[in-house]
Amino acid sequence: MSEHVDLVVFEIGGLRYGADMTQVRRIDRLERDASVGAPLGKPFEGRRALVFCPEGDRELHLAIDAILAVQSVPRDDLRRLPLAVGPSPFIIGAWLDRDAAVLLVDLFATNPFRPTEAPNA
Amino acid sequence: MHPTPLQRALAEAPDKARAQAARPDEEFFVFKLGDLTLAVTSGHVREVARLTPLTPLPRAPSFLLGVVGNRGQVMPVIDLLRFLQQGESKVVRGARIFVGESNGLLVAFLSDAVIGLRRIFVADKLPPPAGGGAATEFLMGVVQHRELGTVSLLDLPKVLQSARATVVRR
Amino acid sequence: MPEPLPTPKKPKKAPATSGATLKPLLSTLDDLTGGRFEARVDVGALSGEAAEAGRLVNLLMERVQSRVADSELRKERTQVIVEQAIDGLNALVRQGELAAFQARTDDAVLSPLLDGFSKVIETLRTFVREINEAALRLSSSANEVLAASTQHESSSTEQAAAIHETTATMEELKHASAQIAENAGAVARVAEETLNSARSGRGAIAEFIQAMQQIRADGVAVSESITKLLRRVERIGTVVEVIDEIADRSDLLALNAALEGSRAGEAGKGFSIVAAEMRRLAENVLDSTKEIKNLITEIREATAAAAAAAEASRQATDAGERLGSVAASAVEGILSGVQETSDAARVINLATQQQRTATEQVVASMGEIEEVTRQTTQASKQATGAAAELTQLAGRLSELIKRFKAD
Repeated sequence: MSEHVDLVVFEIGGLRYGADMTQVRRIDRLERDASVGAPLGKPFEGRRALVFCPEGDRELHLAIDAILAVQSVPRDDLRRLPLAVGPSPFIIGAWLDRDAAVLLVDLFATNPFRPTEAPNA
Repeated sequence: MHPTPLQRALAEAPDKARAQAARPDEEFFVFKLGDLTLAVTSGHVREVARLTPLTPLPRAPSFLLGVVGNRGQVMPVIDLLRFLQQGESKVVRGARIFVGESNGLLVAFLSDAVIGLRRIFVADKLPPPAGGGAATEFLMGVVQHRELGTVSLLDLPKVLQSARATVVRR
Repeated sequence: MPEPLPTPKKPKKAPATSGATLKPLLSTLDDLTGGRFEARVDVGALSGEAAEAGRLVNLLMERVQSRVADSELRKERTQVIVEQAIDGLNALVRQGELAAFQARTDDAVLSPLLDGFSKVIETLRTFVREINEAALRLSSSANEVLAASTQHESSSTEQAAAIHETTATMEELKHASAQIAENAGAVARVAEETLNSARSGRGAIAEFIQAMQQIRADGVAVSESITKLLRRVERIGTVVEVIDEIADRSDLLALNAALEGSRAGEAGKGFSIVAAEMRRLAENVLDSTKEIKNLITEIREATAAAAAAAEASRQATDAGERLGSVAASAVEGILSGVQETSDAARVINLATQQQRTATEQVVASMGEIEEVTRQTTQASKQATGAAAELTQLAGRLSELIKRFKAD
């Protein structure tokens, strides 16, 4: 297992999040109403979209404000979330960027939160 | 010759300090939060630290302010005022937090000011006042302290257990 | 009345006739000599020579009578002409009527007389006409003279009044210029005093400006000092922050050490006591730094106030300097103005002195003119009187001449 993991670090509503780079197919302009919803809180502008494909070639979009970085992060800086936190299914952990905790998102797990997708899930 | 009051007092003085053990006591970690002076048994307090940047959690209950990184650990931060439904604490960067520990759970709590460790006589403990609302169930009792006034003794393991249950239920 | 013809033949006839038969002839002759010229000889009663004589007498008487009648007629005609002439003369004399004289005659004897009269009347008529005309002209001329004279008199009076007024005005002018001279003198004196004051004012303003410059320099120094002080205070603030941070960390350390000691139980007791002491110290330090922070805040506020005061002072001194230079230039202006005023006042004083002399001369001359004018007025009054009299006379003459009606 590699000592490092590549993360896509992005921003929604002024907060930083990280996602596994392998889950992100591309970054695009957000089409109207194309987002899976706002599971991570409302974006300020939401002009960008993380495009991901949880199953097959069907593309899903997550509205974000900005891509901050694509970053290689040492495994030792990653943490599982403590039990007391009771995280949402799509928050899988945190990356400790010095003192600041950056929540890590499982993009594929955000899919069921899209209301129209719910029956299929 | 009548002895002076001092001579009388010296005659009755003990040879060494009176044994404290005669009155059993417990050590508490005392802190201020809003208008309240709260105390938890010192054994449940692992550490005092300063609040680092807080990362809010999506869909979390309001008393769970978010997570912080503390000494390489990701730790949830709870506002006891919100948890006890006694109002809301102001989140000030660099404010004192203390890390509570119970059953392997580590949780950081906001505090406005840390007073420190105080020994409280078990005999001084009074039952929590009736009709104290939601807070009462998490109190072990109250103490009228000479220096600190009314101090509410908080049952930290109960708080942690309840908080975890609430979070996981969601 | 023509003289009755004499009867020289009567004696001649008597001897040729007998007394008885000549009787009718004789009685007729008697009647005739008695003046009864209509008496005629009754020739029928006579005969012969007597009858002849009687017829001759009758013839003679007829002829005489015819001649007498002729003469009577002529006499009457002459009478009419003469009366006409007399009437004309009467009209001339009584009514001055010259036009009425129209006597004409064929009478050779009277004709020259009437012609003479007519000529005289004609001459008179011409005279009257000319005199009338002259009188009219005289009257109008006299009127003109009177008008002119009156005009002259009133003009002369007016002139006299004007001259009088002028004299009075000149008197006033004299007084006024005396007043002006006096005032000008006063102005000159005041100007002199003002000049002195303005000179000392100029000195004072120069001192003021110098003082302002000094104040500004001081103010700049104060400002610099304040800035330096502020920088030092900021530095103290930084140091205090560091101390604060250290104390805060010490507090945390002590707290955690106390907790550690507490966990160690009885063995950690001494440790806990030291930690508590450490915490107390850290808290003391925090209290002190809080005080220092408060002091720094106060110093900051005070220095900010001082800086603001210094700035205000700088602005005030700037304004003061500007005012000072304005005042200086104003005083310079005053000085030159006052100098000019002083000079002008002197000139005015001199000029008014000269004017007073001139005015006095004018007043004297005006007095002479007034006298002359008075005399002129007198003369023109007399002239007016004379002209009035003349007009009256011309009127009278006209009246008189009007009595002769030439046309």
